[in-house]
Amino acid sequence: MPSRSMSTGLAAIALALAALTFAAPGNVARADKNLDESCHKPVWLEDDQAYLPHAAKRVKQARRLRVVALGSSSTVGTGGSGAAAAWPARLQSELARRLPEIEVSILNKALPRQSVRQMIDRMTADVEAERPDLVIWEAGTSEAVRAVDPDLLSDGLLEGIDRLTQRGVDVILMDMQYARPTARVINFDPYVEAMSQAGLIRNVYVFARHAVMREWVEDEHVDFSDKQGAESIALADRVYACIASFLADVIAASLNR
Amino acid sequence: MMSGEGRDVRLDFFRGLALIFIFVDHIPDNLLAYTTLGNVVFSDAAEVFVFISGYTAAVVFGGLERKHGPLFAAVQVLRRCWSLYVAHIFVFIIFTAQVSWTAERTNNQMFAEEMGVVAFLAEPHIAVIRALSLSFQPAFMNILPLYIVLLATLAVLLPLIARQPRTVLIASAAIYVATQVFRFNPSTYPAGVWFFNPLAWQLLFLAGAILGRASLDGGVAFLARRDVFAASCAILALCVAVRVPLTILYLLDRSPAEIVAFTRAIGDKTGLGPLRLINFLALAHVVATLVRRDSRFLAWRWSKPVVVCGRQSLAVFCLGIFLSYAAHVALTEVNHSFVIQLSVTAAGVVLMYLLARILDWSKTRPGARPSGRIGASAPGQSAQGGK
Repeated sequence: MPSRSMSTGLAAIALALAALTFAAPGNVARADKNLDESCHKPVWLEDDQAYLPHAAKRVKQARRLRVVALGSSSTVGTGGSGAAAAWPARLQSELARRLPEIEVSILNKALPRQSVRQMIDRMTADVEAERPDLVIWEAGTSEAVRAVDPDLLSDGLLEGIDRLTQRGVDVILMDMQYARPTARVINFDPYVEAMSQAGLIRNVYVFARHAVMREWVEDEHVDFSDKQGAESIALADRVYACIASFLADVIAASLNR
Repeated sequence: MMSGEGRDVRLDFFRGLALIFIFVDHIPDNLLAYTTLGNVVFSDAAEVFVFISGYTAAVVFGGLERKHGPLFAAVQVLRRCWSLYVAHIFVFIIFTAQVSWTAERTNNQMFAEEMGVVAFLAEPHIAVIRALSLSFQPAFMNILPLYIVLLATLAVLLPLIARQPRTVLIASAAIYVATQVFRFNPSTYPAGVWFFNPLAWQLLFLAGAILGRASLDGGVAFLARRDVFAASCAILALCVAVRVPLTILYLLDRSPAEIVAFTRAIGDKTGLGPLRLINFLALAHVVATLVRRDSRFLAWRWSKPVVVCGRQSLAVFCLGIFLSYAAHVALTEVNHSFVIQLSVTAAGVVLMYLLARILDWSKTRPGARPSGRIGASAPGQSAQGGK
């Protein structure tokens, strides 16, 4: 019987598969969705604030803010026109515009394809040595891509957060990017959840980039699946700029409160 | 099923329910997942499925072993494993097709790191071998390997479970405890460990198998004792009293940091944390005692589809795994609004039922070949040579 039951089962599965494959090319028809200047900020992001006691004190006393961006490919600025277009560089100018009387410096210490473990291993040299007031830590992609135990991600984040807060450094976490083609083959959910849990446990703000980008895609402000060449570089720059502007809103609101 | 009294419909019902819950839980980002077992107690449908699978496998194959000897039973167990193995490879092929398709179409360098997921396509000679040896477990492909490994152990352990159940239980528990203490877990390709650690989960499967085998010989006296039942009730009540408020706080987005840390610490699904195990065993004991074999609700109109799904569990389980992946893709392609979640979930459950119904019909039809039934999910019939 196993063979017979299986073959009926497989036939049903094959039918479902056919439906699935034919559903997919629908993407190709949607074109020209290149996230316009307005950035389409999600409503739920409007009142977000981070808990940044050390950075707030530093801004008040010394009128300056030193930030280190720790992260992986999307923090390096992969796919965009260069380091100046990556979100840390854009964040610096966005913050300078919002806080004109403060001297803001942002160091980009991201390296492509890094796991949380690799980032912790270079934390002393790359982060602590720079004596930052705030670390914006982008993570999770490497873990989600390799489908490792999501607990490895949250455990690593908790360890890293503890190390930084013990040295009087505030932390903001940033989760993974979203696009339809990658979400089809990567199960991001458990990793997004693991990051938000780590943030909740240590009272660290998690910038929900994944949810922001998913809302852009579902509301059809952007389509990542059919972009190539110059168009895709321009789009990457735009995404990084919008992410930086949202993040700047959150940081400015948190420092001004 | 038990000593010629006919099938225990309770097993079909709860296994069917577990299969539906597993499908619902495995659709990422599904709000309906808040209606499943894992929100009421600390264990979830995975425990139910693994335990009942061990139980029914021991009843079916234990019956065969008693009648035709251990070698015959072992061959039937391995035949069943083979079906699961074929299903696993099938899911792998679908996943590979989906990944290749994505790799071919996605040139956007912004997602260069994400596209690392296609790395295995660059070394198919290794990836295929790893998939064949169950150690390649990408997203959505980590459940079948556990089931295959657990069932395969029965081929060897059946005679031991019949003759030395206590020894088997002690050895199994010792491996479980060692796993909890030393935290070892077989590694997977290209990185990571088994999502369901087989060295931990084997305890639940074998506990089910030992109880299932014992049911052929009149059950376990220890579990019929009043004080033991009272203890199980107390444990279960305590777990529900703690878990339900946690779920409500989570839904209201009001979980204090301490509670998130607490649920995270005890909710170790990969290693089947002790709380999950104890909670589940208490739940199983209470339900098995309170719900009688002839309970009226098992004959209700709305129970029947669930029972049918449980009866055809192998095919429904495999279809469910595929469907939850298909549902994930559907939610990605359209959007993940509640309406879409609801329709995708409902469609999946209906498809699972339809498949089960068709298989059920093709087997119970007069004139359907009884010979192929051995090892099927119609155990009562095969052990007794047809209805």
